[in-house]
Amino acid sequence: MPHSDTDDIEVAGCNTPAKLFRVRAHKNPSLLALRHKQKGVWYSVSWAEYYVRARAIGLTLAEAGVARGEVVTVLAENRPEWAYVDLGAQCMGMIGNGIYPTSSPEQAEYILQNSQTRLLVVEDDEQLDKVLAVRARCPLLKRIVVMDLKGLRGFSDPQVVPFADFLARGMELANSQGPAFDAAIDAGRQSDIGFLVYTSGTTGLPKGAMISNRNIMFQIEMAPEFLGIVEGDKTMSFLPLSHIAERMGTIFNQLAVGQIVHFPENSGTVFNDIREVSPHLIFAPPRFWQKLYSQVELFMQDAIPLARALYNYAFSEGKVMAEAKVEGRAVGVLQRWRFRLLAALALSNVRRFLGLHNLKRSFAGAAPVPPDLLKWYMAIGVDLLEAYGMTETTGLTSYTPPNRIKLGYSGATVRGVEVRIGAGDEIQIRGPNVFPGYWLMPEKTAEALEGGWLHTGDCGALDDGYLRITDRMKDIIITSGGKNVTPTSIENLLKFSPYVTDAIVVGDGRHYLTCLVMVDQDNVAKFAQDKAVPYTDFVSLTRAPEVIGLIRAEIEAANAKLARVEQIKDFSIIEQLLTAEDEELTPTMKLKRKVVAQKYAAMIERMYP
Amino acid sequence: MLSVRNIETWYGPVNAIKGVSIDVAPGRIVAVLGANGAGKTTLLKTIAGVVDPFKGSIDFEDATINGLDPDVVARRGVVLVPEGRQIFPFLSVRENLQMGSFARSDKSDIQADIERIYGWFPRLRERVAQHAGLLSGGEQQMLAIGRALMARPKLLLLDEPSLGLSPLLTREIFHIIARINAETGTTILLVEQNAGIALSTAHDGYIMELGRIVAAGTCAALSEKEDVKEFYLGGSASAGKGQARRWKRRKTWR
Repeated sequence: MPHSDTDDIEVAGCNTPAKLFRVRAHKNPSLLALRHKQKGVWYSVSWAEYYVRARAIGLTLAEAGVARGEVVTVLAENRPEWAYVDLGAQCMGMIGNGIYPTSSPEQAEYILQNSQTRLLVVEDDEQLDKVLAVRARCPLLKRIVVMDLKGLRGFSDPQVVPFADFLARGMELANSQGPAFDAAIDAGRQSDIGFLVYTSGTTGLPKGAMISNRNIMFQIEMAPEFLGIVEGDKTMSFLPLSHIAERMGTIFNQLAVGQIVHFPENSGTVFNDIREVSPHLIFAPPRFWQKLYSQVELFMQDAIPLARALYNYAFSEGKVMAEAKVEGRAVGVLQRWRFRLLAALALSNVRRFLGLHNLKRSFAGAAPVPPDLLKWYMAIGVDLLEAYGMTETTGLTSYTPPNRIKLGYSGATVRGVEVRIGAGDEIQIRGPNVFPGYWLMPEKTAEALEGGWLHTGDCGALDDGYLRITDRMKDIIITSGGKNVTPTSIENLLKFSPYVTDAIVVGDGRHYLTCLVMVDQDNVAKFAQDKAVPYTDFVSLTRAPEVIGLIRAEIEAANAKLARVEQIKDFSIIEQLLTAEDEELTPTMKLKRKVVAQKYAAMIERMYP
Repeated sequence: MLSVRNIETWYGPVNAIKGVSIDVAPGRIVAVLGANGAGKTTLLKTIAGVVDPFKGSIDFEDATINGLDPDVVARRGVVLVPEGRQIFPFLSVRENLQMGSFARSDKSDIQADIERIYGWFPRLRERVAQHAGLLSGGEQQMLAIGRALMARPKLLLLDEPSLGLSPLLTREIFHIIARINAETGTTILLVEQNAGIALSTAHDGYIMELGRIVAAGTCAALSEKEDVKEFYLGGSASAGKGQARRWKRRKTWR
């Protein structure tokens, strides 16, 4: 449905997410909205409770002196309180915002200052410490609310309030000020800013992308078709909520379809919790799917020979079926029945083992997806679909329609969004999903939206309505021989190996290409253990000749699929075990090309004697 | 002298050691540090032959010792002082020491050796005839070490010598451990929770967490690591709230 620029986009007669939230809460108050696991027990929150709590938070925020159009920030892992604060603030016309819980105090300080945050809600003692260290330099910050008081007995500070008190005060206020809350929702306009998302900033300082109510409503309108799930289905909220994908997935897509959102115990229990919940929809970056895949592969290595043989046979049959599906070929009756039997015997157990047996739809996005990974999932009967989008397009721009899968493409553009290929093969986007600009950065906004089109900085091509992404424009390598190489496609081949978590190909202005490899600790340690390769700590593991040989073999396997200029001549393994807190990684655990190139400059130089 | 290669040890379904390799050079004191449940004691028990490893090998003086019975391992010169002393409570101090020499083939110098042990632990001489069960905790630990030394070990394995001892006694015991090592050249592998004293006494160190070695090096180098300082030596960054910090920064071991 193409939208004219002037008409509001409406869903169920609502033109803002806040109004839709109110409608949903009043229509089916007793239905489940959220579940949260605490110490192994799942606790439920109904739509009525969700609404009442968000309202309480909204009213107390106003009482604390936060005005319409001012920013309220959350610094916490995913949990229901995150949603109460975000929606509560937006109902009052305030702007929601989030900081990654893995941020350093300095990163938190930058975002607090840049967003002009008036009130901050933090998860616990640890996050509070970060803010206490920098609050002196954030003069606009009025109050800090703490969700979890563990370890804070005896601590008191005039600026810091417990979340429970904040909520209780709001419940009191709701008795007298219920109409004021409704009036605040009614006053919301489609052009208002709903929330901010700070871009992870692989280059330069993070920028706060403003997401308008119009952007959100457009995505909400599209969500039922795109997500393929219905009211009462289950999803898991495990990517950071400060990231556009999970923010839309957890908070706003739920307003569209009414699924039950589950919050895991903590970020370490996600795989177990997924097995328990067995969600109907998963959206995750390729790294997540990669991890699940390598779990199965390594598990099968230790399985008894009969199970292994059955798995391999079923898997090869699955691959044939998958290929037939992609090519749109019909499969013989005999083969189809044989596959059904095998699937029932082996592959359905693999899906059950991973907690994927209820999946109605699954997406991989937020980073390029290795094609072999998609094929593996198709073979076990999970149609993993590629999606493409960015913060500045409120998440989704294109996705693969489940009945018309085309490998190597990031799907077809969603209706109502225009895509064109500009200078230097840059992908440019126009439509109601394109954001209005960066918070308080008019020059950056003008740059990004020059000529009315969003300049994505990604280059690619459009074939027959399908979008193919080659690389980030600034990442393209030009070798000293003058050849253009897209590093991402090479790195993708490497990342399919269960032993390689991430890799960065370098070689700009050089004779040949080399790469830095981040190995998967669990899987490489298991390899060393099976091969009786002695090692002590992580450094000695990465230096073991057998491990170097293992990675070399993986690289040679990738080289065999590459053209001569794209082949990797040398490599080094990163000897540090990197975690999300390290500056080398983005909060979504991708290596930052620039930082890594600088930090490991000496290592890179050694590969060019 | 001792080289442990990729050992993996299970207690039923519990994987206590997940691939550990360590080296102990002759004449050195080597410390293995780690929290409860890291697998330190299991490592010592596996070396001493009390538990057999599921995978991996243990070589002592160029001969494989994994899979051998504990008494055979002990006769080869690897002697374990178990956690919690485990002395014979109803035997006297002297009898306990004599029990230590039970497996020795040369019985000639036993008296001289007992004298030497009294030299290191004068308190034992004062209580020669007393039932060992009536000794204090520190004295029992001294007796357990003395008893192990009576076997004339080439490699002495000490499991938490500081367990249940006052700081003062702990210092005394470690002082004597260092002396024994210096005077007799006995190689010592000890596991400890008291990282401060272990790092200042030993030459080389390994840090274990959840069945894996996460850091290795000389004790001097280990003491310089930020994570060791913060998590093992108690030098924590200021909490900013005038009280101890409850949450843990994730460790990176750089």
